[in-house]
Amino acid sequence: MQLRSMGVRTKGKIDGYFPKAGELTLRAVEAGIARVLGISFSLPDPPKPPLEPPARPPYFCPGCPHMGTFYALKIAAAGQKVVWSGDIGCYTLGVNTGQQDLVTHMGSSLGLGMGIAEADKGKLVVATIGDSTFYHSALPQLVDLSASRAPLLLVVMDNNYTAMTGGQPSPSRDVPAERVAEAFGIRAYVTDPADVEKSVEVFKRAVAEAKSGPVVVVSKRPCTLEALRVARRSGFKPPRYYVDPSACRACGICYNLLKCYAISRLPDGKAWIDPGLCNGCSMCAQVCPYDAIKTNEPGKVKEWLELWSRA
Amino acid sequence: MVTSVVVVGVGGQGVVTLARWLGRAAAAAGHDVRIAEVHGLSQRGGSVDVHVRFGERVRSPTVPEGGADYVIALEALEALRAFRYLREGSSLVVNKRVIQVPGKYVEPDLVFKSLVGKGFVVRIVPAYDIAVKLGDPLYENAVMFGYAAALLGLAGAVDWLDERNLKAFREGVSLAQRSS
Ligand SMILES: Cc1ncc(C[n+]2csc(CCOP(=O)(O)OP(=O)(O)O)c2C)c(N)n1
Repeated sequence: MQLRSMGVRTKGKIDGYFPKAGELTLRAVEAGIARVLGISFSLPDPPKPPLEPPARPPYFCPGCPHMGTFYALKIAAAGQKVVWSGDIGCYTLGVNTGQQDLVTHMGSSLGLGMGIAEADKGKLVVATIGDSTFYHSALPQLVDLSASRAPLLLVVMDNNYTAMTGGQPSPSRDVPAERVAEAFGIRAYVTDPADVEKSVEVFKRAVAEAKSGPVVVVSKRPCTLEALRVARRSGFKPPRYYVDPSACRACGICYNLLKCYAISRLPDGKAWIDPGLCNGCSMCAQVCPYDAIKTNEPGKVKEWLELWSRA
Repeated sequence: MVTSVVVVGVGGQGVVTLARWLGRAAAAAGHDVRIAEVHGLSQRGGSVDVHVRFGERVRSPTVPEGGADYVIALEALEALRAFRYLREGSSLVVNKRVIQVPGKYVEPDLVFKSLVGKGFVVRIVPAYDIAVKLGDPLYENAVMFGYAAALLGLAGAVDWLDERNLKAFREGVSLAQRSS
């Protein structure tokens, strides 16, 4: 457009030579250039896969603490009209379970959430924010939250790292988010997403209290990938879980609600855990109502979760 | 002459690492090398594909559809997705592993059966099983690296690999030698 306004003759997306949306593949660029130059040009169609593979959107890594946090939140807020005010980080993948209704930019969850809580009093606003994003871009909004007393639940998904961008450090241990919230005069609770029962309980209380004012829950457990790095360095092999097919009743709680990437739904509806993907977080075993998810190394679980929590 | 390789797999499997290893081995063998990380989140279970081109003089790093000499797939559903890169006579080297997509289970046997007899040279490599035997599925990319390097004539100078990856690499090399 700028070139055109300067009188330069241009051809491009606007005239349909190249696709306006989507990827500029080699094929699209070659075809576009050929058309611009008036060359007749055609490429043979590429081979088609003999079997169409299912699309593979990104998911939480198996054992991701965010997965446990979203599960507990879903259970705790069941039956309520929730607006999930999302933010930028690994937890944006909460979109896979319908728990990120809006995501605009780093730190948006709290500001937008407060506006929605003000405008739509019939809904429960749950703002989810990663620890790095919390420290980096939510503190001004926290002042506002303290002053406005907006009724909402702010969940700080504290994995002690900036996971999405490759595991850069976060100040979450030096400046704990719950202390920050309290310093601003906002009530804060702490939970561990790998303790599912406790997390559901904490979130239930927080959801109830959020009706009358702001509440913060800090859900703390380090990024699984960082914990695995620590384990590898110290020669520790995490325990793995498996599904006992004779006990599984195909209820789907593990693969539909928890939605761990390591868990597949077999054609008969029963669950199956890929042993090469399981990171031994134990959350699926905790959510299974039939005790069908087991490990061969029960003694190792506590040790693993402790080692993990120090990552 | 330029050899075009497309390396595919699932985020977390070490696809990017495998491609870099191939590039490094090609450079060590005296080739000009170009690598492009084309798609994907390198963690979190998304599809990843990386292009590696090497030869006397490489001008562009990307491989067009229908333009790969080799597709190295760390996972079988991704091998299916990478069919578009193949052309007559191309080789498809596939790790014998299916990483299921949640909610979209596909019978692994069906996948592997579908790959063969479609006009390409298909080699199914038990890299995952070997890696598990070596103590960690993490080494599957090193086994595949060994297999691919042997196939591409690049298995010479890899003394920069650490000891455990080197062990997995050697398993891959010897598998390729036995099967050729
Ligand atoms: C303004 C801005 N700066 C930087 C980024 C890059 N970025 C993407 S996610 C992210 C932070 C993720 O960390 P955290 O909130 O702790 O979530 P996690 O990924 O650890 O779950 C950053 C810095 C961005 N998206 N926007």
